[in-house]
Amino acid sequence: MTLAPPAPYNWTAGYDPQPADLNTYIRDTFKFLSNKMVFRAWQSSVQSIANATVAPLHLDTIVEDTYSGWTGSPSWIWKPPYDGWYQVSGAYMSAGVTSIQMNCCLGVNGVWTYQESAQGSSLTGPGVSCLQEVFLRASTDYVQVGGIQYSGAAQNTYSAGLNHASYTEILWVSK
Amino acid sequence: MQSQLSNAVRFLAAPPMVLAEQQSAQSIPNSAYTGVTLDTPIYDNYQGFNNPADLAVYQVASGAAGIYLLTGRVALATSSTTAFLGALYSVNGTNIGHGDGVTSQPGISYLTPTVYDLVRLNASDIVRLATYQSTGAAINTFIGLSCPSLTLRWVATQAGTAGLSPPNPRTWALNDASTALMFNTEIRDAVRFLSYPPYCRAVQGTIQSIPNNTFTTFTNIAPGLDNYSAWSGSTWTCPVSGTYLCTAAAGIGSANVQMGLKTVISSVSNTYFGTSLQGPAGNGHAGMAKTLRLSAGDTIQPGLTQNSGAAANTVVAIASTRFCALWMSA
Repeated sequence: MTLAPPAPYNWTAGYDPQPADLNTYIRDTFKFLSNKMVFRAWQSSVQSIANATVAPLHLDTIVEDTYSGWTGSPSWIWKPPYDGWYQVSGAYMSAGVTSIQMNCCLGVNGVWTYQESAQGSSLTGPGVSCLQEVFLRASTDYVQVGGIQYSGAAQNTYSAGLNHASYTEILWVSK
Repeated sequence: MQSQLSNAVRFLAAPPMVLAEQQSAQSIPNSAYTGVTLDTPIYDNYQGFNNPADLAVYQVASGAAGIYLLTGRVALATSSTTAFLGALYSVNGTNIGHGDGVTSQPGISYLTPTVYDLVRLNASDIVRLATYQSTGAAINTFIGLSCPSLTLRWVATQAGTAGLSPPNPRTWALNDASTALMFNTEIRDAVRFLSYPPYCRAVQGTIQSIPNNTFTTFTNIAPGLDNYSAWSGSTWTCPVSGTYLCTAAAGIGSANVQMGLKTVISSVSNTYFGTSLQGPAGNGHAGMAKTLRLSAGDTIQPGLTQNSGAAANTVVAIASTRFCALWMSA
């Protein structure tokens, strides 16, 4: 069952709460706060990332999407069911970026505002992760995690299974 | 009901939080820890950015003490291939946690080292996002596709009741007797758990030698924050089933480092990898953030791989090598 973020009641002296009140203001409130909407996905298929251009990650394996916010190909976006702050974590793993800068990028409505940089290493499947809270409006906004690399040519993402692949995770954290 | 239920829920559903960005470039001097000015508060529901004379200062408001999740990023405009470019933060003038330390690349106009951490903050504490660069001259921050920013979000109280389970709310029926016991379970314990969920921050205090090209878990690491006593030796054991945000960071005297979280979930060992990087010679810092759904008893051992060609030592200054876990949801 999906629930809306809590809207606490202003209780007044003498009011006798009915079961419906208690279910709304106690049961549903704590269900929402303790079972937050969660989206987790990772990339099992290789994706080519062009040089010097941010590309949204094509997350083809959904682990969970408790409020059904994900739209896959060709959009690759997650839309929130309610206005609020969402914690987004993700990582971009590359198969071919060595000694060259690569960024994990977090974008809202296609604007890649939040980035984290690393210089790709000679280790297998170098990657870079990111973490950021963003405010999203239910009716208009979407969020994506993407990657950019500057090797001078297109480079494939790296995927060796659930534990070493590009990923995105989203949780509701605040109204 | 107003104070114990509605006001508690109002706080938990919109806790103290700030997101501030820098939109006017700042000159960062060479080889000096420098506070990053944040001239554009995007959200600041407890008015912590209230010092127009010093835009680098976030001051914790009265009534907003607690454990905070900190995310800071410092976009720097440089293409130096040898300099150390780092992100860190301070509390009351003391550097508390270090994040990425990387180099840039010729022809690339900017890069963005980042720091994540769990930090204990008291009312009136002053938090500053900071950076360090060793290009040999002053450089500017970068404002454009990326920019410096700081996010602080209250996630827990500093003290509370540990050992509770996540709320499992009952459905109320017409003939239920609303007893004190029921309200203690359904309201008091729910608020207590959600305001004091399991969290852990463990920091390495002694330098560790990491062999070449072998995933190695951290040793000599001890918890400063660990309200469910989940850390022991080199292992964090999940105390309560749920979805956790796990972060790890490491400083290493090696050019190539790869961060990993080795988890044992239902006896299946997985090593989750995050950031890999080629840092400046002999001084790389890497970090990672990963959300995992865990069962009570699952374990995590943070560690890393480096392939400098020989053993390399970790860095322990400014809590450079550490692990954090935070219960987020059932």
